[in-house]
Amino acid sequence: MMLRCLLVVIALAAGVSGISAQTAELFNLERIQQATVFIAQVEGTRLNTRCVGSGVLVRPDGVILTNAHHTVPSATCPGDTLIISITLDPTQPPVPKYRAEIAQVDAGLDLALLRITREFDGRSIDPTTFPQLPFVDQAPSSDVQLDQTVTFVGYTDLGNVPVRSIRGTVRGFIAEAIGGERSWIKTSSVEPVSGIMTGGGVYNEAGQLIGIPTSAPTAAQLADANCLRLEDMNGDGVVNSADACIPIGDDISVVRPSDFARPLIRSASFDLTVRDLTQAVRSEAAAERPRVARVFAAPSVVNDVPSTVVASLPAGTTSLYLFFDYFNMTPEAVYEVRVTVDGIPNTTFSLPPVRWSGGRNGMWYIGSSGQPYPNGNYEYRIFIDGVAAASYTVTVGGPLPTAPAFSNVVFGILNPDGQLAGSGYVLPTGSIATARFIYSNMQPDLPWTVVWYYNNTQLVQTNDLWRLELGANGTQSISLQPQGGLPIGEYRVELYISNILSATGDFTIAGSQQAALPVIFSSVEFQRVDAAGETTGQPGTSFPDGAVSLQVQFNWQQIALGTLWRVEWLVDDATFFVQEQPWLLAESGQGYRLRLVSRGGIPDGTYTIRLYVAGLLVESRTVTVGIGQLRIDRFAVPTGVTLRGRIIDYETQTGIEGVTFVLISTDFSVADFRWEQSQIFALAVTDRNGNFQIDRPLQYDAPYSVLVSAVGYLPLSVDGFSLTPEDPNPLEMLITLVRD
Amino acid sequence: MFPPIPETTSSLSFSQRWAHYVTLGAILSMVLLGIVLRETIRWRLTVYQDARTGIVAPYPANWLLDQSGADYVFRVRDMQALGFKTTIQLSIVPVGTATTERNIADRLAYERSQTLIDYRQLSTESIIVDDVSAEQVTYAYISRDTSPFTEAIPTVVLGTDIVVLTRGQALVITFRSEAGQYQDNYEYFRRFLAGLEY
Repeated sequence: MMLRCLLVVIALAAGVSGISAQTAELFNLERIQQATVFIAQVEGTRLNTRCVGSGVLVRPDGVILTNAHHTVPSATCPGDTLIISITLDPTQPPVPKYRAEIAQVDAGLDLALLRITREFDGRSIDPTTFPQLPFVDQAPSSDVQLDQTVTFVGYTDLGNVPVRSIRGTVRGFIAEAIGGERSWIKTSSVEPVSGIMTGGGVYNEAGQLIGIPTSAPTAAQLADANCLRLEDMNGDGVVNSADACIPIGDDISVVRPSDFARPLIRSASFDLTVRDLTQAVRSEAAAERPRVARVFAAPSVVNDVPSTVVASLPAGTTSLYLFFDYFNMTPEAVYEVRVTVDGIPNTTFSLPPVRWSGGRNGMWYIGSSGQPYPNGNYEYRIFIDGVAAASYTVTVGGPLPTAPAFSNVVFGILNPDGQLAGSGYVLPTGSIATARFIYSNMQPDLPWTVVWYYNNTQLVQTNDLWRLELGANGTQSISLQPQGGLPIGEYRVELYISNILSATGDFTIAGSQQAALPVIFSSVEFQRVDAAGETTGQPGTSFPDGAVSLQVQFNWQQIALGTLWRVEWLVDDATFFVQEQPWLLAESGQGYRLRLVSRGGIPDGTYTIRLYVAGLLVESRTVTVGIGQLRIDRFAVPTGVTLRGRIIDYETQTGIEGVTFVLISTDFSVADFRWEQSQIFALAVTDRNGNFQIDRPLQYDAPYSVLVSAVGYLPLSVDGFSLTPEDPNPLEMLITLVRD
Repeated sequence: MFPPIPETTSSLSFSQRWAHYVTLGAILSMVLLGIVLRETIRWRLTVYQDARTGIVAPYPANWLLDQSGADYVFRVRDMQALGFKTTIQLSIVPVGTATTERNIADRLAYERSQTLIDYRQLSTESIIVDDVSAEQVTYAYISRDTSPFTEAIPTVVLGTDIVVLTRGQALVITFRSEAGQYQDNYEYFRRFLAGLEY
């Protein structure tokens, strides 16, 4: 404190108008602004701009979280270089400083992690001299509440204006098959949030990142005013329609929750990469035009399938989901759902254009729960790449339903006691599969129909009349027993009442039978591989540190081509890698290999691999490496006080260049300081104007020591330099040195 | 009338004259003592010892010692200097049986050309250090503060690498200084080399 009394001449606080004093302490807008970057995807040696967006630094070593659609090369964004411009002064436009490479990407979730690897001039960055950049903290997006105030931070223009912050409000949540109830956060804002802010950050009142604003331009927008032509890309001397344009998405109204980015950030933090060493022997079908079919509505979702099928819902409905089948979709496809209520567009329930995240083929849903649906006729229109693909109308209003209905279809194998056993949606190979469903309000002699499908082809259809002895309400089981048994693959059952679809469910047949459960993967083992060229390694469940890579090897049996399976890797119980993809190998085989690599060797920790088929966890293995726990990253502290200042000559009152400002860590006093790096919390060197900035935030109530010593000047030092939440943030110091 | 002014004599007494001599001598002695003390302080050394690598290195006192780098085992920098911080660094590079000092020097050149701005190799020569053959590479590059938030002006730096093969590994001894101060600061490096044991 003494040093501040002596030396702090100017202390300026960064404040945000309209934020309470307590919140302002937490909401360090300037630090968030400095952590926000402008990203230009450029192409070729002329570095022509192809796509733009915002991003946010999530680690001090230059890891940037942003969208995939404007960074990962694609038909819309074919650039090959990413230029990173950063906010040096929040009142000025960003300045190009670095180049980045893609470290991790999930094209479906439209998330990408970039790593700064080069200076702006293309020169490789020496990691040992790379500064610690400002970065933001993350909050669990599951804590976000309806009507919560949030702040968008990003760039609203093509690098011409300073970073912007825009206030907004959480208006709802959109559910999707990919991420459940909170796949998207719907927002509104006091002013339009430009599509260029896509990939930036959305923050809670504490200044923590809760999501990534997202708006993907559609192919149709490449031809409209949202596609800007700024450069003479073809070198013909004029900028006209012959030049490629920079696509800009619509104004932003949805945010991808930051929880989806955590696995990517973890894997980038520890530089962990999973490589699939087993080559696919088959490929998916040739690309065809994406399409959707079998659109219907449901009031709720059970295990990613509709509980029942409805054409209308009663007044007071708070949850509604639209289901549809999709075919030939790709992660680059942009889909959109426009909702009108009685013909009037409804932004709360609509989903603006976003990247497709569901894989190639399957059943999808979108909807929400916990939000009141006003009475009216809801028309859902689905667009793919800007083209209308399907529509469906459902009515909300009226009394509680009393019509006959089927619901909650689950699958299994009947045990000797006649009870349904199994996982519910993945059954082992055998001769018979059983579906159980709930019926309500049924009447005798009511016609009902069961249709079984195998790999989208109708297998069996049975028509019947409802029997009196079954009653109006209860549960009923039906079975499928084709001749020759059940081949592996995808199955579906549809239940109709009077020829109207009332319930449906999907299940998968895979693996051999062990009781009622499938055994699909076997002999799963971890191996330590110490050389990149080795194909196998030493198996075990505990390895000493120093492993170059970690390999998982397993056998598989009876899994059909195209069956969705998922690999999940965890370290210390935190997921860092998830990949779901269709099975593209032979039905059975041995020696599937997945290898975990890290440039610096596998970090100590407890690693787990989980294998899923059709959403069901079928295998899990754990191994420990080294001490079995990740080491603590002492630099990964995003919050605190930003310290910067100026060191001047007492006589000339001008800045002194090249002076070192040493902030000694709290364990040592100036007298204890032996000029060893390990004793230093942070240091900074003044620039040509005498300005310096400490690149790590200072913690509150931590007694630092300060030493400023330069040849030709009397040294300055002080112990017990601590800061409180009442101090301005950023804290600016003016230090005067006297010549000796 | 004013009385005549008496003639004054400039001669000093014996004791006065010796008092002057003693004073001048004392001043001179103090200046010399100051210079000696200054030089003593300037060249005062602190000894770095690493039992694991067997390296003993006397380095200038009050230079910042850093052993946390991934690509060096020892680095000291003169943080009190204005401008570029004069640096002495020791790195250990694994070698094969066929590796020569020249191979290592070339490897360093490849790597540095990727990370150092306008890296330019000025000379490469074989020298003898403590009766051991070594390769000495002199180079220049542009150094700049990597903080994007400050306006530091780049500095031209001269560097010297000395590569010695010892006990199945290569020891790379590096000295870097601002080009204009290189000759003055080279004395630090010379003294460092003179006391270096490996």
